[in-house]
Amino acid sequence: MNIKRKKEKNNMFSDNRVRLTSRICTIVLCIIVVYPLLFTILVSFKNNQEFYTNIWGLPAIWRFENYVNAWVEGKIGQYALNSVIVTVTAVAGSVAVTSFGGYALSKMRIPKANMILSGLMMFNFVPGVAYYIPLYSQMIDFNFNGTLLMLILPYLAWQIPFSVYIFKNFFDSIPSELTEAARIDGASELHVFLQVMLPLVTPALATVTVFNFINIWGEYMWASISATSSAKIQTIPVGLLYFRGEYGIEWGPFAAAITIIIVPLIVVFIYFQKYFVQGITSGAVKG
Amino acid sequence: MHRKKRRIPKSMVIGCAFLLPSILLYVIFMVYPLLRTFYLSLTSWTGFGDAAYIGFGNFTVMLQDTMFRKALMNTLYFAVVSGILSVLVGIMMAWLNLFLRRMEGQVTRTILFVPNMIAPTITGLLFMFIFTEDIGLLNNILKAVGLQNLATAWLVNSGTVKQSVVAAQIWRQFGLTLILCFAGFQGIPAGLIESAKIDGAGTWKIFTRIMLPLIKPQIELASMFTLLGGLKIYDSVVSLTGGGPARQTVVLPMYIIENAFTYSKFGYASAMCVAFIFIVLLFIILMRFVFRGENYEY
Repeated sequence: MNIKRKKEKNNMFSDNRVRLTSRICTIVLCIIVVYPLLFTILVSFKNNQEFYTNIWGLPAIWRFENYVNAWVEGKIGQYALNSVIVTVTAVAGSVAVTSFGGYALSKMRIPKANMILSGLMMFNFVPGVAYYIPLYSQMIDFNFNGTLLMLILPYLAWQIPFSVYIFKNFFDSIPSELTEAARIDGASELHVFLQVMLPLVTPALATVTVFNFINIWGEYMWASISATSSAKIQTIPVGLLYFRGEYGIEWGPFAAAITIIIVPLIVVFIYFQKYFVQGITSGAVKG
Repeated sequence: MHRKKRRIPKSMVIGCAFLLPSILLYVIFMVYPLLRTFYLSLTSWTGFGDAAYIGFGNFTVMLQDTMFRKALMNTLYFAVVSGILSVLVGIMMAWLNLFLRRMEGQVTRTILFVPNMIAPTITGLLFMFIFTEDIGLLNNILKAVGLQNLATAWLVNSGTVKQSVVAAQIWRQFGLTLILCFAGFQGIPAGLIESAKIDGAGTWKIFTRIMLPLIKPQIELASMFTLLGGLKIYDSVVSLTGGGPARQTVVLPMYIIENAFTYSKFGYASAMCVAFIFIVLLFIILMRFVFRGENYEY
Protein backbone atom coordinates (compact mmCIF):
# COMPACT_ATOMS: atom_id res chain seq x y z
CA MET A 1 0.00 0.00 0.00
CA ASN A 2 1.23 3.37 -0.94
CA ILE A 3 1.19 6.01 1.74
CA LYS A 4 1.63 8.82 -0.77
CA ARG A 5 -1.40 11.03 -1.11
CA LYS A 6 -2.45 12.13 -4.56
CA LYS A 7 -2.11 15.79 -5.12
CA GLU A 8 -5.64 16.57 -6.27
CA LYS A 9 -7.00 15.05 -3.08
CA ASN A 10 -5.53 17.83 -1.03
CA ASN A 11 -7.92 20.27 -2.66
CA MET A 12 -10.89 18.07 -1.98
CA PHE A 13 -10.33 18.00 1.75
CA SER A 14 -9.56 21.67 2.22
CA ASP A 15 -12.72 22.64 4.11
CA ASN A 16 -11.25 25.03 6.67
CA ARG A 17 -13.88 24.56 9.37
CA VAL A 18 -13.47 20.81 9.28
CA ARG A 19 -9.72 21.20 9.24
CA LEU A 20 -9.92 23.17 12.50
CA THR A 21 -12.15 20.53 14.11
CA SER A 22 -9.80 17.87 12.84
CA ARG A 23 -6.79 19.61 14.34
CA ILE A 24 -8.46 20.00 17.72
CA CYS A 25 -9.65 16.38 17.88
CA THR A 26 -6.32 15.01 16.68
CA ILE A 27 -4.31 17.07 19.15
CA VAL A 28 -6.55 16.09 22.07
CA LEU A 29 -6.29 12.41 21.16
CA CYS A 30 -2.53 12.64 20.66
CA ILE A 31 -2.24 14.10 24.17
CA ILE A 32 -4.36 11.25 25.57
CA VAL A 33 -2.09 8.76 23.81
CA VAL A 34 1.26 10.33 24.64
CA TYR A 35 0.65 11.62 28.15
CA PRO A 36 0.51 8.27 29.99
CA LEU A 37 3.80 7.33 28.34
CA LEU A 38 5.44 10.65 29.15
CA PHE A 39 4.09 10.52 32.69
CA THR A 40 5.61 7.08 33.24
CA ILE A 41 8.97 8.24 31.95
CA LEU A 42 8.89 11.27 34.30
CA VAL A 43 7.90 9.11 37.28
CA SER A 44 10.81 6.81 36.53
CA PHE A 45 13.16 9.58 37.66
CA LYS A 46 11.36 10.43 40.92
CA ASN A 47 11.46 8.85 44.35
CA ASN A 48 8.32 7.99 46.27
CA GLN A 49 8.26 11.17 48.29
CA GLU A 50 8.48 13.33 45.22
CA PHE A 51 5.95 11.15 43.49
CA TYR A 52 3.33 12.06 46.07
CA THR A 53 4.19 15.74 46.48
CA ASN A 54 5.04 16.70 42.91
CA ILE A 55 3.09 14.36 40.69
CA TRP A 56 2.84 16.61 37.64
CA GLY A 57 6.11 18.43 37.30
CA LEU A 58 9.56 17.51 36.11
CA PRO A 59 11.60 15.67 38.72
CA ALA A 60 13.63 18.00 40.95
CA ILE A 61 16.58 15.62 40.78
CA TRP A 62 16.87 13.15 37.90
CA ARG A 63 17.34 9.89 39.80
CA PHE A 64 19.02 7.53 37.38
CA GLU A 65 19.56 5.14 40.29
CA ASN A 66 15.93 4.05 39.81
CA TYR A 67 17.06 2.38 36.60
CA VAL A 68 19.97 0.67 38.32
CA ASN A 69 17.56 -0.47 41.03
CA ALA A 70 15.08 -1.91 38.58
CA TRP A 71 17.80 -3.54 36.50
CA VAL A 72 19.72 -5.17 39.35
CA GLU A 73 17.46 -5.54 42.40
CA GLY A 74 14.23 -5.82 40.43
CA LYS A 75 16.00 -8.39 38.24
CA ILE A 76 14.74 -6.67 35.08
CA GLY A 77 18.21 -7.34 33.68
CA GLN A 78 17.71 -11.07 33.98
CA TYR A 79 14.17 -10.93 32.56
CA ALA A 80 15.39 -8.76 29.71
CA LEU A 81 18.12 -11.26 28.87
CA ASN A 82 15.51 -14.03 28.69
CA SER A 83 13.21 -11.91 26.58
CA VAL A 84 15.99 -10.96 24.16
CA ILE A 85 17.16 -14.57 23.74
CA VAL A 86 13.62 -15.86 23.25
CA THR A 87 12.54 -13.11 20.89
CA VAL A 88 15.65 -13.12 18.71
CA THR A 89 15.75 -16.92 18.34
CA ALA A 90 12.04 -17.31 17.74
CA VAL A 91 11.84 -14.46 15.22
CA ALA A 92 14.93 -15.63 13.34
CA GLY A 93 13.62 -19.20 13.32
CA SER A 94 10.19 -18.19 12.13
CA VAL A 95 11.56 -15.99 9.34
CA ALA A 96 13.92 -18.76 8.19
CA VAL A 97 11.29 -21.51 8.24
CA THR A 98 8.42 -19.53 6.73
CA SER A 99 10.39 -17.84 3.96
CA PHE A 100 11.15 -21.33 2.63
CA GLY A 101 7.54 -22.35 3.19
CA GLY A 102 5.98 -19.33 1.51
CA TYR A 103 8.38 -19.62 -1.42
CA ALA A 104 7.59 -23.32 -1.86
CA LEU A 105 3.85 -22.64 -1.86
CA SER A 106 4.23 -19.85 -4.37
CA LYS A 107 6.83 -21.02 -6.86
CA MET A 108 7.54 -24.76 -6.53
CA ARG A 109 4.39 -26.21 -8.15
CA ILE A 110 3.17 -27.87 -4.99
CA PRO A 111 -0.25 -29.37 -5.68
CA LYS A 112 -3.16 -27.75 -3.86
CA ALA A 113 -0.97 -24.91 -2.57
CA ASN A 114 -3.97 -22.70 -1.83
CA MET A 115 -5.64 -25.44 0.14
CA ILE A 116 -2.51 -25.94 2.23
CA LEU A 117 -2.44 -22.21 2.94
CA SER A 118 -6.10 -22.25 3.99
CA GLY A 119 -5.30 -25.18 6.25
CA LEU A 120 -2.56 -23.16 7.89
CA MET A 121 -4.82 -20.14 8.36
CA MET A 122 -7.80 -22.18 9.51
CA PHE A 123 -7.15 -22.13 13.24
CA ASN A 124 -6.09 -18.51 13.39
CA PHE A 125 -9.30 -17.49 15.12
CA VAL A 126 -8.83 -20.01 17.95
CA PRO A 127 -7.97 -18.28 21.24
CA GLY A 128 -4.51 -19.29 22.42
CA VAL A 129 -5.75 -20.54 25.76
CA ALA A 130 -7.55 -23.36 23.92
CA TYR A 131 -4.35 -25.25 23.23
CA TYR A 132 -2.19 -24.17 26.16
CA ILE A 133 -3.36 -26.91 28.53
CA PRO A 134 -2.35 -29.98 26.46
CA LEU A 135 0.68 -28.09 25.16
CA TYR A 136 1.92 -27.55 28.70
CA SER A 137 1.91 -31.27 29.52
CA GLN A 138 3.35 -31.96 26.06
CA MET A 139 6.28 -29.63 26.75
CA ILE A 140 6.92 -31.34 30.07
CA ASP A 141 6.90 -34.71 28.30
CA PHE A 142 9.51 -33.33 25.92
CA ASN A 143 11.56 -32.36 29.00
CA PHE A 144 11.59 -28.71 27.94
CA ASN A 145 10.40 -27.33 31.28
CA GLY A 146 12.85 -24.95 32.86
CA THR A 147 14.52 -24.20 29.54
CA LEU A 148 13.83 -21.30 27.20
CA LEU A 149 12.90 -23.84 24.49
CA MET A 150 9.55 -24.04 26.23
CA LEU A 151 8.93 -20.51 25.01
CA ILE A 152 10.98 -20.38 21.82
CA LEU A 153 9.45 -23.33 19.96
CA PRO A 154 5.76 -22.50 20.52
CA TYR A 155 6.34 -18.80 19.81
CA LEU A 156 8.08 -19.72 16.58
CA ALA A 157 5.30 -22.11 15.59
CA TRP A 158 2.43 -19.70 16.33
CA GLN A 159 3.85 -17.10 13.95
CA ILE A 160 3.91 -19.56 11.05
CA PRO A 161 0.43 -19.05 9.52
CA PHE A 162 0.67 -15.27 9.25
CA SER A 163 4.29 -15.30 8.11
CA VAL A 164 3.80 -17.97 5.42
CA TYR A 165 0.80 -16.00 4.18
CA ILE A 166 2.81 -12.78 3.87
CA PHE A 167 5.76 -14.51 2.15
CA LYS A 168 3.50 -16.34 -0.30
CA ASN A 169 1.74 -13.10 -1.23
CA PHE A 170 5.02 -11.31 -1.88
CA PHE A 171 6.50 -14.20 -3.89
CA ASP A 172 3.29 -14.39 -5.93
CA SER A 173 3.89 -10.83 -7.08
CA ILE A 174 7.27 -11.75 -8.58
CA PRO A 175 7.09 -13.17 -12.12
CA SER A 176 7.89 -16.90 -12.36
CA GLU A 177 10.06 -16.24 -15.44
CA LEU A 178 12.80 -15.17 -13.06
CA THR A 179 13.01 -18.54 -11.33
CA GLU A 180 12.71 -20.36 -14.66
CA ALA A 181 15.56 -18.35 -16.13
CA ALA A 182 17.79 -19.04 -13.15
CA ARG A 183 16.95 -22.75 -13.28
CA ILE A 184 17.77 -22.93 -17.00
CA ASP A 185 21.10 -21.28 -16.22
CA GLY A 186 21.77 -24.34 -14.08
CA ALA A 187 21.33 -22.86 -10.61
CA SER A 188 20.24 -25.29 -7.90
CA GLU A 189 16.86 -24.76 -6.24
CA LEU A 190 18.51 -23.60 -3.04
CA HIS A 191 20.66 -21.20 -5.00
CA VAL A 192 17.66 -19.81 -6.90
CA PHE A 193 15.86 -19.18 -3.63
CA LEU A 194 18.69 -17.67 -1.61
CA GLN A 195 20.50 -15.68 -4.29
CA VAL A 196 17.76 -14.69 -6.72
CA MET A 197 14.39 -14.65 -5.01
CA LEU A 198 15.01 -13.81 -1.35
CA PRO A 199 16.73 -10.48 -2.10
CA LEU A 200 13.64 -9.46 -4.07
CA VAL A 201 11.32 -9.74 -1.08
CA THR A 202 13.16 -7.70 1.54
CA PRO A 203 9.93 -5.81 2.34
CA ALA A 204 8.31 -9.14 3.22
CA LEU A 205 11.29 -10.01 5.42
CA ALA A 206 10.90 -6.71 7.24
CA THR A 207 7.12 -7.05 7.61
CA VAL A 208 7.33 -10.56 9.01
CA THR A 209 10.22 -9.68 11.33
CA VAL A 210 8.48 -6.64 12.77
CA PHE A 211 5.14 -8.36 13.32
CA ASN A 212 6.71 -11.44 14.89
CA PHE A 213 8.87 -9.23 17.09
CA ILE A 214 5.91 -7.27 18.46
CA ASN A 215 3.82 -10.40 19.04
CA ILE A 216 6.55 -12.34 20.80
CA TRP A 217 8.17 -9.55 22.82
CA GLY A 218 4.97 -8.74 24.70
CA GLU A 219 3.40 -12.20 24.96
CA TYR A 220 2.16 -12.78 28.49
CA MET A 221 -0.27 -15.69 28.84
CA TRP A 222 1.91 -18.59 27.71
CA ALA A 223 4.97 -17.02 29.31
CA SER A 224 3.25 -16.84 32.68
CA ILE A 225 1.97 -20.41 32.41
CA SER A 226 5.45 -21.65 31.49
CA ALA A 227 7.02 -19.70 34.33
CA THR A 228 5.02 -21.78 36.82
CA SER A 229 7.35 -24.65 35.95
CA SER A 230 10.50 -22.64 36.64
CA ALA A 231 11.22 -19.06 37.69
CA LYS A 232 14.38 -19.15 35.57
CA ILE A 233 12.49 -18.59 32.33
CA GLN A 234 10.52 -15.47 33.26
CA THR A 235 10.38 -12.93 30.48
CA ILE A 236 9.89 -9.20 30.87
CA PRO A 237 6.06 -9.08 30.86
CA VAL A 238 5.90 -11.85 33.48
CA GLY A 239 8.71 -10.40 35.55
CA LEU A 240 7.15 -6.98 35.50
CA LEU A 241 3.97 -8.19 37.19
CA TYR A 242 6.02 -10.02 39.84
CA PHE A 243 8.01 -6.84 40.22
CA ARG A 244 4.80 -4.95 40.97
CA GLY A 245 3.97 -7.47 43.66
CA GLU A 246 7.33 -7.08 45.34
CA TYR A 247 8.02 -3.41 44.85
CA GLY A 248 4.43 -2.21 44.46
CA ILE A 249 5.04 0.86 46.54
CA GLU A 250 8.31 1.88 44.90
CA TRP A 251 6.88 3.79 41.97
CA GLY A 252 10.17 5.12 40.64
CA PRO A 253 11.94 1.84 39.85
CA PHE A 254 8.63 0.35 38.72
CA ALA A 255 8.14 3.12 36.17
CA ALA A 256 11.79 2.74 35.20
CA ALA A 257 11.16 -0.93 34.44
CA ILE A 258 8.18 -0.04 32.23
CA THR A 259 10.27 2.57 30.44
CA ILE A 260 13.02 0.02 29.75
CA ILE A 261 10.43 -2.11 27.94
CA ILE A 262 8.51 0.45 25.93
CA VAL A 263 11.29 2.71 24.68
CA PRO A 264 12.93 0.05 22.44
CA LEU A 265 9.49 -0.90 21.13
CA ILE A 266 8.63 2.65 20.17
CA VAL A 267 12.00 3.15 18.49
CA VAL A 268 11.61 -0.08 16.49
CA PHE A 269 8.07 0.88 15.58
CA ILE A 270 8.85 4.35 14.33
CA TYR A 271 11.79 3.05 12.33
CA PHE A 272 9.81 0.23 10.67
CA GLN A 273 6.46 2.00 10.53
CA LYS A 274 6.07 1.53 6.78
CA TYR A 275 6.16 -2.26 7.13
CA PHE A 276 3.51 -2.22 9.82
CA VAL A 277 1.09 -0.48 7.55
CA GLN A 278 2.03 -2.88 4.78
CA GLY A 279 1.44 -5.91 6.97
CA ILE A 280 -1.91 -4.71 8.23
CA THR A 281 -3.27 -3.57 4.91
CA SER A 282 -2.02 -6.62 2.98
CA GLY A 283 -4.79 -8.51 4.75
CA ALA A 284 -7.25 -5.98 3.39
CA VAL A 285 -6.16 -6.43 -0.20
CA LYS A 286 -6.59 -10.16 -0.38
CA GLY A 287 -8.87 -10.56 2.65
CA MET B 1 22.78 -36.50 -9.70
CA HIS B 2 21.60 -35.54 -13.17
CA ARG B 3 19.26 -38.44 -13.63
CA LYS B 4 15.79 -37.37 -14.69
CA LYS B 5 12.81 -38.22 -12.54
CA ARG B 6 9.95 -39.34 -14.75
CA ARG B 7 6.72 -38.43 -12.98
CA ILE B 8 7.29 -35.99 -10.15
CA PRO B 9 9.30 -32.91 -11.10
CA LYS B 10 12.40 -32.39 -9.00
CA SER B 11 11.37 -28.87 -8.00
CA MET B 12 8.21 -30.24 -6.43
CA VAL B 13 10.12 -32.70 -4.26
CA ILE B 14 12.46 -29.97 -3.09
CA GLY B 15 9.44 -27.71 -2.63
CA CYS B 16 7.89 -30.18 -0.23
CA ALA B 17 11.16 -30.29 1.67
CA PHE B 18 11.09 -26.48 1.88
CA LEU B 19 7.53 -26.55 3.20
CA LEU B 20 7.91 -29.43 5.63
CA PRO B 21 9.39 -27.56 8.64
CA SER B 22 6.54 -25.02 8.62
CA ILE B 23 3.90 -27.73 8.51
CA LEU B 24 5.60 -29.89 11.15
CA LEU B 25 5.99 -27.09 13.69
CA TYR B 26 2.44 -25.93 13.04
CA VAL B 27 1.04 -29.39 13.64
CA ILE B 28 3.12 -30.17 16.73
CA PHE B 29 2.51 -26.89 18.56
CA MET B 30 -0.96 -25.90 17.36
CA VAL B 31 -3.08 -28.56 15.68
CA TYR B 32 -2.17 -31.52 17.86
CA PRO B 33 -2.68 -29.73 21.21
CA LEU B 34 -5.94 -28.30 19.89
CA LEU B 35 -7.24 -31.78 19.07
CA ARG B 36 -6.11 -32.96 22.51
CA THR B 37 -8.17 -30.15 24.07
CA PHE B 38 -11.27 -31.50 22.36
CA TYR B 39 -10.49 -34.98 23.67
CA LEU B 40 -9.68 -33.79 27.20
CA SER B 41 -12.95 -31.85 27.36
CA LEU B 42 -14.72 -35.21 27.54
CA THR B 43 -12.61 -36.44 30.46
CA SER B 44 -12.07 -35.64 34.10
CA TRP B 45 -8.29 -35.44 33.76
CA THR B 46 -6.46 -33.85 36.69
CA GLY B 47 -2.99 -33.82 35.23
CA PHE B 48 -1.85 -37.19 36.56
CA GLY B 49 -2.53 -40.71 35.40
CA ASP B 50 -4.99 -41.65 32.73
CA ALA B 51 -7.86 -39.44 31.70
CA ALA B 52 -11.23 -40.96 32.61
CA TYR B 53 -13.88 -40.54 29.94
CA ILE B 54 -17.00 -38.90 31.31
CA GLY B 55 -18.87 -37.92 28.14
CA PHE B 56 -20.47 -34.50 28.26
CA GLY B 57 -20.34 -34.30 32.06
CA ASN B 58 -18.10 -31.25 32.01
CA PHE B 59 -20.51 -29.38 29.80
CA THR B 60 -23.49 -29.97 32.06
CA VAL B 61 -21.43 -28.72 35.02
CA MET B 62 -20.51 -25.67 32.97
CA LEU B 63 -24.13 -24.76 32.35
CA GLN B 64 -24.70 -24.49 36.09
CA ASP B 65 -21.43 -22.71 36.87
CA THR B 66 -22.35 -19.12 37.71
CA MET B 67 -18.71 -18.05 37.68
CA PHE B 68 -18.33 -19.37 34.14
CA ARG B 69 -21.36 -17.38 33.07
CA LYS B 70 -20.02 -14.26 34.71
CA ALA B 71 -16.61 -14.65 33.06
CA LEU B 72 -18.29 -15.22 29.70
CA MET B 73 -20.51 -12.15 30.09
CA ASN B 74 -17.51 -10.03 31.02
CA THR B 75 -15.56 -11.24 28.00
CA LEU B 76 -18.50 -10.47 25.71
CA TYR B 77 -19.05 -7.07 27.33
CA PHE B 78 -15.41 -6.04 26.90
CA ALA B 79 -15.23 -7.33 23.33
CA VAL B 80 -18.46 -5.73 22.13
CA VAL B 81 -18.46 -2.41 23.96
CA SER B 82 -14.80 -1.56 23.57
CA GLY B 83 -14.77 -3.09 20.07
CA ILE B 84 -17.60 -0.94 18.73
CA LEU B 85 -16.30 2.22 20.40
CA SER B 86 -12.74 1.66 19.14
CA VAL B 87 -13.96 1.13 15.58
CA LEU B 88 -16.10 4.29 15.72
CA VAL B 89 -13.26 6.40 17.11
CA GLY B 90 -10.91 4.90 14.52
CA ILE B 91 -13.18 5.68 11.58
CA MET B 92 -13.79 9.25 12.72
CA MET B 93 -10.10 9.90 13.28
CA ALA B 94 -9.19 8.37 9.90
CA TRP B 95 -11.67 10.69 8.19
CA LEU B 96 -10.54 13.76 10.11
CA ASN B 97 -6.95 12.87 9.26
CA LEU B 98 -7.70 13.43 5.58
CA PHE B 99 -8.19 17.14 6.24
CA LEU B 100 -4.78 17.64 7.78
CA ARG B 101 -1.74 18.72 5.80
CA ARG B 102 0.39 15.84 4.62
CA MET B 103 3.14 16.08 7.22
CA GLU B 104 0.68 16.69 10.07
CA GLY B 105 -1.32 13.68 9.02
CA GLN B 106 1.69 11.42 8.79
CA VAL B 107 3.09 12.38 12.18
CA THR B 108 -0.23 12.16 14.03
CA ARG B 109 -1.08 8.81 12.45
CA THR B 110 2.21 7.45 13.72
CA ILE B 111 1.56 8.78 17.21
CA LEU B 112 -2.00 7.49 17.33
CA PHE B 113 -0.88 4.01 16.28
CA VAL B 114 1.77 3.69 19.01
CA PRO B 115 -0.58 2.23 21.71
CA ASN B 116 -1.44 -0.60 19.33
CA MET B 117 2.01 -2.10 19.48
CA ILE B 118 2.60 -1.64 23.19
CA ALA B 119 2.11 -4.99 24.93
CA PRO B 120 -1.34 -5.26 26.59
CA THR B 121 0.31 -6.01 29.93
CA ILE B 122 2.00 -2.62 29.76
CA THR B 123 -1.25 -0.90 28.79
CA GLY B 124 -2.78 -2.25 31.97
CA LEU B 125 0.09 -0.95 34.07
CA LEU B 126 -0.02 2.49 32.42
CA PHE B 127 -3.73 2.77 33.15
CA MET B 128 -3.08 1.76 36.73
CA PHE B 129 -1.23 5.07 37.05
CA ILE B 130 -4.29 6.82 35.65
CA PHE B 131 -7.05 5.16 37.65
CA THR B 132 -5.44 4.59 41.06
CA GLU B 133 -7.26 6.48 43.79
CA ASP B 134 -4.87 8.75 45.64
CA ILE B 135 -2.12 9.36 43.12
CA GLY B 136 -4.02 8.57 39.93
CA LEU B 137 -3.87 11.02 37.06
CA LEU B 138 -7.62 11.06 36.47
CA ASN B 139 -8.52 12.00 40.03
CA ASN B 140 -5.86 14.67 40.01
CA ILE B 141 -7.20 16.14 36.78
CA LEU B 142 -10.73 16.15 38.22
CA LYS B 143 -9.46 17.93 41.32
CA ALA B 144 -7.61 20.48 39.21
CA VAL B 145 -10.78 21.44 37.31
CA GLY B 146 -12.95 21.49 40.44
CA LEU B 147 -14.86 18.27 39.91
CA GLN B 148 -13.43 16.47 42.95
CA ASN B 149 -16.82 15.01 43.85
CA LEU B 150 -16.58 12.92 40.67
CA ALA B 151 -13.28 11.46 41.79
CA THR B 152 -13.49 7.86 42.92
CA ALA B 153 -11.39 4.75 43.32
CA TRP B 154 -11.95 3.76 39.71
CA LEU B 155 -10.53 0.26 39.96
CA VAL B 156 -12.07 -0.59 43.36
CA ASN B 157 -15.53 0.82 42.81
CA SER B 158 -17.57 -1.93 41.17
CA GLY B 159 -19.60 0.67 39.27
CA THR B 160 -16.60 2.05 37.39
CA VAL B 161 -14.13 -0.81 37.09
CA LYS B 162 -15.57 -2.24 33.88
CA GLN B 163 -15.64 1.14 32.20
CA SER B 164 -12.02 1.63 33.22
CA VAL B 165 -11.05 -1.59 31.46
CA VAL B 166 -13.04 -0.51 28.40
CA ALA B 167 -11.25 2.85 28.36
CA ALA B 168 -7.86 1.14 28.41
CA GLN B 169 -8.98 -1.20 25.66
CA ILE B 170 -10.16 1.65 23.40
CA TRP B 171 -6.88 3.47 23.97
CA ARG B 172 -5.07 0.39 22.75
CA GLN B 173 -7.26 -0.62 19.83
CA PHE B 174 -8.55 2.36 17.85
CA GLY B 175 -5.27 2.87 15.96
CA LEU B 176 -5.75 -0.29 13.92
CA THR B 177 -9.10 0.88 12.53
CA LEU B 178 -7.57 4.28 11.88
CA ILE B 179 -4.76 2.84 9.73
CA LEU B 180 -7.04 0.43 7.84
CA CYS B 181 -9.79 2.96 7.14
CA PHE B 182 -7.31 5.66 6.20
CA ALA B 183 -5.86 3.31 3.58
CA GLY B 184 -9.42 2.68 2.41
CA PHE B 185 -10.22 6.38 2.11
CA GLN B 186 -7.08 6.89 0.07
CA GLY B 187 -8.17 4.24 -2.40
CA ILE B 188 -11.38 6.12 -3.28
CA PRO B 189 -10.97 7.74 -6.69
CA ALA B 190 -10.82 11.51 -6.47
CA GLY B 191 -13.33 11.93 -9.29
CA LEU B 192 -16.13 10.38 -7.27
CA ILE B 193 -15.82 12.87 -4.47
CA GLU B 194 -15.22 15.74 -6.87
CA SER B 195 -18.43 15.05 -8.75
CA ALA B 196 -20.45 14.75 -5.54
CA LYS B 197 -19.09 18.13 -4.52
CA ILE B 198 -20.12 19.66 -7.84
CA ASP B 199 -23.59 18.23 -7.32
CA GLY B 200 -23.71 20.25 -4.11
CA ALA B 201 -23.17 17.58 -1.45
CA GLY B 202 -21.74 18.90 1.82
CA THR B 203 -18.63 17.52 3.55
CA TRP B 204 -20.61 15.47 6.08
CA LYS B 205 -22.94 14.09 3.44
CA ILE B 206 -20.01 13.04 1.25
CA PHE B 207 -18.56 11.24 4.26
CA THR B 208 -21.69 9.34 5.28
CA ARG B 209 -23.25 8.66 1.87
CA ILE B 210 -20.23 8.10 -0.35
CA MET B 211 -17.04 7.48 1.55
CA LEU B 212 -18.34 5.18 4.30
CA PRO B 213 -20.17 2.75 1.98
CA LEU B 214 -17.10 2.59 -0.24
CA ILE B 215 -14.77 1.48 2.56
CA LYS B 216 -17.11 -1.19 3.88
CA PRO B 217 -14.53 -3.99 3.31
CA GLN B 218 -11.99 -2.10 5.41
CA ILE B 219 -14.53 -1.42 8.16
CA GLU B 220 -15.47 -5.10 8.17
CA LEU B 221 -11.85 -6.17 8.43
CA ALA B 222 -11.16 -3.65 11.21
CA SER B 223 -14.23 -4.82 13.13
CA MET B 224 -13.17 -8.44 12.73
CA PHE B 225 -9.67 -7.76 14.04
CA THR B 226 -10.88 -5.55 16.88
CA LEU B 227 -13.79 -7.64 18.10
CA LEU B 228 -12.06 -11.00 17.77
CA GLY B 229 -9.00 -9.50 19.46
CA GLY B 230 -11.33 -8.18 22.16
CA LEU B 231 -12.74 -11.64 22.84
CA LYS B 232 -9.24 -12.81 23.73
CA ILE B 233 -8.75 -10.00 26.28
CA TYR B 234 -6.65 -11.26 29.17
CA ASP B 235 -3.26 -9.59 29.66
CA SER B 236 -4.54 -6.07 30.17
CA VAL B 237 -7.19 -7.20 32.66
CA VAL B 238 -4.63 -9.21 34.63
CA SER B 239 -2.31 -6.25 34.95
CA LEU B 240 -5.02 -3.62 35.48
CA THR B 241 -7.45 -5.26 37.91
CA GLY B 242 -6.28 -8.86 38.36
CA GLY B 243 -9.93 -9.83 37.95
CA GLY B 244 -10.99 -7.82 40.97
CA PRO B 245 -12.61 -6.21 42.84
CA ALA B 246 -14.42 -9.26 44.24
CA ARG B 247 -14.01 -11.08 40.88
CA GLN B 248 -16.06 -8.42 39.10
CA THR B 249 -13.82 -8.37 36.04
CA VAL B 250 -12.82 -12.02 35.66
CA VAL B 251 -12.65 -12.89 31.96
CA LEU B 252 -12.95 -16.31 30.38
CA PRO B 253 -9.23 -17.10 29.82
CA MET B 254 -8.57 -16.12 33.44
CA TYR B 255 -11.16 -18.54 34.76
CA ILE B 256 -9.94 -21.29 32.44
CA ILE B 257 -6.31 -20.91 33.51
CA GLU B 258 -7.32 -20.77 37.15
CA ASN B 259 -9.24 -24.04 36.84
CA ALA B 260 -6.44 -25.75 34.96
CA PHE B 261 -3.31 -24.60 36.72
CA THR B 262 -4.55 -23.75 40.23
CA TYR B 263 -7.19 -26.43 40.78
CA SER B 264 -5.80 -29.00 38.27
CA LYS B 265 -9.25 -29.44 36.72
CA PHE B 266 -7.74 -29.93 33.28
CA GLY B 267 -10.80 -31.74 31.92
CA TYR B 268 -13.22 -29.04 32.98
CA ALA B 269 -10.90 -26.26 31.77
CA SER B 270 -10.63 -27.99 28.38
CA ALA B 271 -14.40 -28.16 28.15
CA MET B 272 -14.56 -24.41 28.73
CA CYS B 273 -11.94 -23.96 25.98
CA VAL B 274 -14.15 -25.89 23.57
CA ALA B 275 -17.13 -23.73 24.51
CA PHE B 276 -14.93 -20.65 24.02
CA ILE B 277 -13.95 -21.80 20.52
CA PHE B 278 -17.58 -22.23 19.52
CA ILE B 279 -18.45 -18.82 20.93
CA VAL B 280 -15.73 -17.24 18.81
CA LEU B 281 -17.02 -19.13 15.76
CA LEU B 282 -20.53 -17.90 16.47
CA PHE B 283 -19.17 -14.38 16.69
CA ILE B 284 -17.54 -14.70 13.28
CA ILE B 285 -20.80 -15.92 11.72
CA LEU B 286 -22.65 -13.06 13.38
CA MET B 287 -20.16 -10.55 12.00
CA ARG B 288 -20.56 -11.98 8.49
CA PHE B 289 -24.29 -11.50 8.92
CA VAL B 290 -23.95 -7.90 10.09
CA PHE B 291 -21.72 -7.04 7.13
CA ARG B 292 -23.69 -9.07 4.58
CA GLY B 293 -24.75 -7.55 1.28
CA GLU B 294 -22.90 -6.14 -1.66
CA ASN B 295 -19.69 -4.26 -1.62
CA TYR B 296 -19.65 -1.27 -3.88
CA GLU B 297 -17.17 -1.34 -6.71
CA TYR B 298 -15.34 1.70 -7.93
